This record gives sequence, structure tokens and C-alpha cells, in this order.
Amino acid sequence: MTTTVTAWPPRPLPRISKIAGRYLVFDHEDASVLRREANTNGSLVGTLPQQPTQNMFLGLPIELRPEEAEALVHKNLARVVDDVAAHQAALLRSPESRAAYIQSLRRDKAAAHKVLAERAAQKAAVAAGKAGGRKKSKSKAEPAPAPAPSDGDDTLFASAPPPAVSSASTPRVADSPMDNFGVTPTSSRDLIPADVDREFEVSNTPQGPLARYLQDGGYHTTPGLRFGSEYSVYPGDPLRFHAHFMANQYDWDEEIPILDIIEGGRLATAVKKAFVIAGSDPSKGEAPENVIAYSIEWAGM
Amino acid sequence: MAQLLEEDPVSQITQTVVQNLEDQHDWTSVETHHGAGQRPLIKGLPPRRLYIHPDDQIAALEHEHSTGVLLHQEPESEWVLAVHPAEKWTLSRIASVFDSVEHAGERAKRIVLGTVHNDSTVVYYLLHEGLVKPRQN
Repeated sequence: MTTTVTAWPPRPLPRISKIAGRYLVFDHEDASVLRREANTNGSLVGTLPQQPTQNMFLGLPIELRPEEAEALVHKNLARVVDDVAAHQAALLRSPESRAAYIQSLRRDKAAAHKVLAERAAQKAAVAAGKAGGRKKSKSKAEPAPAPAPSDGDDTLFASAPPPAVSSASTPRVADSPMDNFGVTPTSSRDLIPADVDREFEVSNTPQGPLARYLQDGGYHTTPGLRFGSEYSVYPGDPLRFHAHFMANQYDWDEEIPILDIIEGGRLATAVKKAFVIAGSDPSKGEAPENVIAYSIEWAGM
Repeated sequence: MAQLLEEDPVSQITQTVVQNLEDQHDWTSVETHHGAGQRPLIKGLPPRRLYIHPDDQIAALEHEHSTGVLLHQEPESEWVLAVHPAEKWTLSRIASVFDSVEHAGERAKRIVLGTVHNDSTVVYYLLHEGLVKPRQN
């Protein structure tokens, strides 16, 4: 419990959505805060809606294992919300909440339009600067005006109508991403009021002493499948470090075949890691400092 | 070996590991310690230091580079637990072995797991207490 949220920028705790027994983070800022401040990277599991069979190069949301989510909640670094119940409650509560949500989407769309329009204008200015020496045309650097957000629902997710092409000499702003822009919300944060969200917080997430221990020790973890264990444990961000350990959690009195220990140690040494077996003594409590871990490596003889 | 196991498995595999340490790995001062109600543990002195923590290794190499003097070369005595691959252990039993290791000052940071198969193959694995980073990474 050494880390406190007060050290963070004043933003709400990262929100973990519990959907169908899975723990997902949809908000990119939450995901980056968890990665940066809470040594939790999770696994990217999101595909593009247009590519539902995609299984590589995945994006948001990130999925956390239940015990990872629990470790974060335990340290007050995140909160878990029953997302289905929260959405239903928010949508059924009043028609205004729906209207407010649509308004927020429209705001996001307008903001995105503005950014894209500015970028297109910048590009056009550069292009005009290059062409200007030869053609002496001056009107090209002006930014195309962003279409004002309309009131109808029908245009919300649709692309903006293509502006009329006046002549062949018009700069190619018409092909900029702005005109094909439809907003794809990645999180429904603005739909659910804070009080409703709190009402559906989940507290009975299954816990794992090893996950708490690793979270407490500042280690990152990824699924350990590729080395035949439960967790691959990294001393820092997995993008910067190799894993140091392959770790398995056991109950305090769970039988571990010696052959499994030798196997793990043998494999781990072959891939320059150590094999870790860990668990907590129930008589001493579940605190991370009571977790006992053993690291196994080949003795070299 | 299989026949011997039936008589007193633990002391037989312990004896096998003792012989293997002395005859194959040239350990000296090898003796067996019988704690009260605990598995026997073997204490011995390897001919060379068995384990150097990777951080100490780096420091030793730097020291050698600058002064020409080798550090951490003197062997340390090690504790060895003899086991058979057919056994099943638990975290609580491993913890009780660590608790049973006799120590004058600092508690033992590791034990060596000597596993004896029926074909008399013996393999040695280090069992560190806590998360100890691997030697090559």
C-alpha cells in the first residue's frame, strides 16, 4: 500500500469493465495510466469491427486476468464495474442520459474534426508553399472549414458529405481523412454518470496471492503460455525488458511433483530465466509480504 | 536402487547424493545433518564457488577489470536436499526445510535440490528463497 493515488493527476481511478466474466479496460488513458503507474500492461484483445476474424495486431480493449484486476483494486489503483448492469441502469434511468451521451459523442466528433481540419490545412499550406513558387496561386493555404455539428442522429456515425469540388485547381483537401471521418467511440465513459457507476462496482473479484505479490513488487506480467507457466514476469515494461521469471502459483499445501520443479527449472534455465513457484501461508494472512516464492535454476553441475 | 528404496528411501537417496557429490563433483567436508523430524540435509564444500548473484558477478568483473584482482572466488559451503523425482512436495514443506537449515548468522538464502533417479542420474538445481533474478539475462 505504498503507492497512493494522490500522486496521480486528478483524474478518476482507471475503470475496469467486467463483462461476461472478463476484465476489460476500454479507455486508452486508463490503459496507459495502468501501464505507466501500476505496472499492469494486460493483453490487447480488440479487433476492428470490420475485421472480426483478426487475431494479430490487436488493439483496445486490454484484458486483465481476474487476479490482476483484484490486485489493482486491492491497492486502490483501479475499480471494477459490472458494465452491463451499469449501462442498463444508465440507459433506463432517463431519456436525458441518452441525449446527453449523444451530445458528448457529437462533441468528440467536432473535436476530432477540428484536429483533422487543422492538420489538413497545415498540409495544404506546405503543398501551397512548394507549388506557390511556380504557379503563384495564393488561396490554397486557407483551411477548409469544419462542418458544423448537425442535430440529426442520422449524421452522427456517418461520414461528412463531400464538399463540392469547385475546380481542378482546388487543393486536394477533399481526399483528406476529415471527409471520411465517422466517430468510433472506444469507451462509453460519458454515458454512465459517476453515481450510477459507483453503484455497480464489483468487489468479489477472485484474488491470487502471486498476482498481488508481483504487483506490489513492481513487476510486469504477461501470460506465461509461451514458456509453459502461468505468468511471464518482467522486471519492467515488457517492451523494454526480457522476462526474468516463469512463475506458477500453488496453494500452500498443494502437492507439487518434483519432476515439475525440475522441468520448470530446466526449461527456464534454457531460456535464461528462473522458474518461480509461489504461494501464501494461509495462517499468516494474504498480504503480499507473506507470499513465499522460490526461484529455481540449474546449479551448473 | 529400487530395492534399496523400499527399505529406507530417504536415507538411501541421501547417501547416493553424498557419494555423487564426493566422487563426481569433488566436494569436501560432506556431512549429513538430521534435524528433528525433518528430512536429512547434506552440507558440503564445493571445489569452486557454486553460485554468484548476477549483480555480484558484474561487480566482480568490473573490479577485476580495474584492479586485476578476482573477487568472490572462495567456495562457500552449500546445503543439499536429496529428493526422488517420484516425490511430491508442497510449498509448506519446502518452507519448513528452509526453516530447519542451521545457521549461525544470516539465514540460508538457497538450498541445492539434488534429485536422484533410479538409474542413478543426479541433477542439481538451485532453490532460492524469494525472487532471485537469473544468472544470464
